[in-house]
Amino acid sequence: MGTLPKVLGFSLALTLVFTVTANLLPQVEGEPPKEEKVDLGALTMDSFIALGESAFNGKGTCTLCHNNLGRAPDLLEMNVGEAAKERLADSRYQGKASDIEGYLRESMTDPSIYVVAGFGKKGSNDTESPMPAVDKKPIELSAVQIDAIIAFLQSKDGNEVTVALPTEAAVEDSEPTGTVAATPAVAAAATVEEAIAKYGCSACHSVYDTESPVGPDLRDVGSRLGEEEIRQSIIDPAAVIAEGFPAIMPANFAERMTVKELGLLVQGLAAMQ
Amino acid sequence: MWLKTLLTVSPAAAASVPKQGRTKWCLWLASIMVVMGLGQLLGISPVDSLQAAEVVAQGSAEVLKGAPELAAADYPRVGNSSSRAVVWILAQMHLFFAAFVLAVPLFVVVIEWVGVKTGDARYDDMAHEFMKVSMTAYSITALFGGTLAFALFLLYPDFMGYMLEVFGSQVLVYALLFFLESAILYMYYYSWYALRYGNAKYVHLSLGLLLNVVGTTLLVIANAWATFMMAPSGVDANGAVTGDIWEIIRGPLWNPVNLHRFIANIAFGGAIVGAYAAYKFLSGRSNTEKAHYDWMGYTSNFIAVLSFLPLPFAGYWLMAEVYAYSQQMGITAMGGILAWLFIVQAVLIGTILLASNYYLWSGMSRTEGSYRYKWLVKYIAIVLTGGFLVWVTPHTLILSAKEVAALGGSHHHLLGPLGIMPAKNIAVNLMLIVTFLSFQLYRRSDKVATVSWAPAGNALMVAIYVIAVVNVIFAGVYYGYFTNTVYKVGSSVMQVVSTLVVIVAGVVIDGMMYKGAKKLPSEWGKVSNRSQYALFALPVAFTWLMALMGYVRSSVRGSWHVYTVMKDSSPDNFIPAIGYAGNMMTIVTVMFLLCVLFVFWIASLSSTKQIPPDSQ
Amino acid sequence: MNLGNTVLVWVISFVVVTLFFYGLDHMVMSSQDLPLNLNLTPAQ
Repeated sequence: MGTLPKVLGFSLALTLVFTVTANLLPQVEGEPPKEEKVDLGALTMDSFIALGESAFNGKGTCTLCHNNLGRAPDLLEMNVGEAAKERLADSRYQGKASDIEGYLRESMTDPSIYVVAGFGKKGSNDTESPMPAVDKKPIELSAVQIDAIIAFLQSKDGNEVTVALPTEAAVEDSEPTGTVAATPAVAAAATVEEAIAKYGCSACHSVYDTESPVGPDLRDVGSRLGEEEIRQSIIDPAAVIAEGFPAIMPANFAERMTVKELGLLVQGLAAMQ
Repeated sequence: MWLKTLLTVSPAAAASVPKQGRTKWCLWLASIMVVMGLGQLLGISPVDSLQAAEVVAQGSAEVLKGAPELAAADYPRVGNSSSRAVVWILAQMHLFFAAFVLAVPLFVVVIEWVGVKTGDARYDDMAHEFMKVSMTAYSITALFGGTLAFALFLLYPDFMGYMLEVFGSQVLVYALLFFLESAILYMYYYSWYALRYGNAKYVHLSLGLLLNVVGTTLLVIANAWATFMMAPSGVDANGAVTGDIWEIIRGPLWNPVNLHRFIANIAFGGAIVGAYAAYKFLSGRSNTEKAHYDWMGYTSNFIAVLSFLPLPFAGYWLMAEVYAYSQQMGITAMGGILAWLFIVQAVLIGTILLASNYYLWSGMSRTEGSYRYKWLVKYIAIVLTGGFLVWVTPHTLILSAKEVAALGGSHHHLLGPLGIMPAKNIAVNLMLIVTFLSFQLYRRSDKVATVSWAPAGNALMVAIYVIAVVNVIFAGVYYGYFTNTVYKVGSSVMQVVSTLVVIVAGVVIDGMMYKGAKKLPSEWGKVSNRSQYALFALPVAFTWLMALMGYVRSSVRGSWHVYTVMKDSSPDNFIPAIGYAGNMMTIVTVMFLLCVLFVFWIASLSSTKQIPPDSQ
Repeated sequence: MNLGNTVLVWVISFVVVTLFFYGLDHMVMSSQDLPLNLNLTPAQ
């Protein structure tokens, strides 16, 4: 065989090895932010909190840093209300907030006003926060979404939710475009699809045609877990954590779901293979 | 000096420089400093003066115009083709060739200079031959550059309009410099034999330096466009220009990318010309031809590997700056959806390290003195393979339900600990240390030290290797698995420093220990054909790696044309999955390889002469 | 060079290099405000 075919063959074979490697890895696509109208008239406090939670995990990208890896205070682990009170009482606190709600809003829109000790930018001696202002680009949460996140953070530890539900007028004022993420349904879900939409599973999990790398893929969950394991994962998410994923799934689904909804979800997910 | 010592292999090349020659090149070096200063002025000052004009023009504008907000319909589409795929291929081809043609003159000038210093004409011939290969590539670079610009204006007109608005006259400076680069390149190449000896040679060397000054300026100007898209500076939150052009160029990621691309280009260029040499070696008939191309291949491999070794450190700086600019962006790259492709990166870098080690071991057959070190090769091979396997062990294994049951969890209880960072750090550092060992053994194989302290020097070197390896393993195991997380990152610095100590100590100790050493006979060309395939593996892996890292660098922006400033609303505004990206990388790599073969063919065609029909 | 001498050279080399690396580790960690922490105690 001549030199040219041998060299070409060798090079192409090597290229093929790299291609195959890339194709064997889990295939995840980045998701461009989806904007959907939220029906403010039908909003209840529960669905408002759920909206906050999905923004916290999804569009807000809060869990990129606020997790158990130590990049930022682990908001899901700590009692946010108690922590906020302590910080307002701290002598280093220079902001204008006087209550928990105000403190949380200020922390999101102007993170550098008060930086929790040890979490400042390197070399800034905790005077400058590495966190971006969430109402600015690239995150761009709306005022409604920020309020919803505050409601979520207040409610998750059983603290009093002080945020008022948004009214149409307030939205007109603060946000001319009036677009917010995913609509949570209020009525009891009748199908698996509805249940998944209602509890915002797709905020973290890839399911149907939405992709999210935060939690394990649900599209083939039936091939990995049996019905009982799926039921346990929903009721008590912390019991078994899939390797490589953060333990951030809310533990209160059991309280929020009806028995029928849970049954629907378990059977529906087990069928996804 | 050290570079020359390292490059010099044959005893013939070790001729000393006459006194007169030395003063001459000192004078020449001084004059080069002046020329470089001038080049700097030529490169930068037009930008400064243009920028001043721009600021004045802006001052009079009352409302600052931000970046346009686009809808999906604002993107023209040609048929059903993906605009991103078209631009992806064209940009990558342009970047491959640009990297190659900018890199070759960088080391060609060094080799030419070594030729002058040693008086060995072979260096000069080799430098000329390297240039010959890059000449055809230069035209192809321009061709792809033009097509890319056309495609961008056709498919992303509003985005390009915004970029032009931001960079304005800087683009003209780029165009001007491009013409200057072409002119100097042709002058440099075609005057090679006209300006070969005496003072004329210094004129030629100066031309070469000027070529590199202009080339590097071109590189950093173009880098500013890419880094502006990742981390815009000099504009307000809406993208309206607020700063002068210098503020726009000098974003937080500009210099890290400049350094990273500069070094990577040299490694890439070295790998490509290495393939040329290997190709000529394999198809060479006579022994002199084989000897020449063996030596050329060795030199190319040397350039590629030497510039490859500092790349991780430049990459570390770049990533640190990305994190400092936006933690979100950093996590997207390293811990988010793009994290998986670092497995592919491990496969590629493993290929590069294995190939270059294999090439060094094969090269030991050139001298009989190598029998003293041959026994070590198998241990180096074991460490390399082991390190490679640890490195590619993914953190989360993708398993079927049955396998999960068999393993008792989605994480293997034995393999699990190998998938995390401390284990990978140990593996990478050990691989780098043994690669340097291969290199050092190769360098030693044709020499016998004659200095009186040689045994002590040897003992010291062995001690440094052993203790460094122990330290790397200790730092990884102890801090990685037994104390808490705070130490993990801290101790990885310890490992990198250990590796650097080995490399620096190895160069210094051998440099002193083998001064005036006895040379054993060695013969260029006495190397197996199989070893030459390592020289093909290098450019293939480098090309693919470059495409891969380019995909990461570009993808961290997510759904933004210009991060935080101009949204990407096109149908392709998501990060593609690694499999799709991998297929794209293969397409561009294969296209590039075919073009490179064409370039090689053209290069050898120019030296082929047809015998006149009447002489037969 | 006799045998005793050779052994001595090797021992000295290893001792010197070990001390050097110990100092280096100390330096690297302290430059990041971390102790060497060789007694397995948790940090902070």
